[in-house]
Amino acid sequence: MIGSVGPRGLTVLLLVGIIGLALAILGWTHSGTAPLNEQSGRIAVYVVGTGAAR
Amino acid sequence: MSKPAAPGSWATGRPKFPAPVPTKRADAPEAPEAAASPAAAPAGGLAAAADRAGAIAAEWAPVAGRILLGVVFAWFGYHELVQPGGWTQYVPFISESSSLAVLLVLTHGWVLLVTGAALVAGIAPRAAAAVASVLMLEIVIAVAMTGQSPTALRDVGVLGLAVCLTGVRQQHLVLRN
Repeated sequence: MIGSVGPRGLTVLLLVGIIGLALAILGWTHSGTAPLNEQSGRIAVYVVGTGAAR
Repeated sequence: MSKPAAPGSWATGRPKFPAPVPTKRADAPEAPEAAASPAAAPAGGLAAAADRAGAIAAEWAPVAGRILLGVVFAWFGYHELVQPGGWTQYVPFISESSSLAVLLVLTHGWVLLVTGAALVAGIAPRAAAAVASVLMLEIVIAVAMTGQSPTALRDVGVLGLAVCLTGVRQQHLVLRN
């Protein structure tokens, strides 16, 4: 089954693997910065609307 | 597909019997029944067209299945890599806010991306399909453990496609060298 991997196939897999590693590093560095979710959006609107932040 | 399929004809990727093409010799006399009923000729043409469509499907459907499965794997792999925080909830036994969960999602995403690329490009397609089957089994178990049964059931179908592709010996559009 695996014997059919030639040099071109190996090159493609290597390239995709390196791209994947680069994306993984990008994902790891941004893993702490989650996008604004609905609940935190509502809290922000409440805080601004009621002036609770002042 | 009027003839019964021979065993193993699907696995080879091409039908054992070529699709019958209606041929007419120049010296052949006009068939009396065809002349008698005008509906007979379109029905024969329809059967031949159905046979031809069946032969094309037998040859190209595994390729379509393989590429589409690869696109799904690559899409999920990419999204797990760039936004791992959105996928840590599916990691069983480990806190979704932990770094280990993020690391596991990133590793999973990388394997998905590479497997997806192998499926799309046709690099060792049966081995890639076998890896895809194992991954899908793991995904089904992980999703079922989180209690999302409709999603798990849908993924069982994708697992079926991956398992099916492991048996396809001869395919088109593969990168052999």
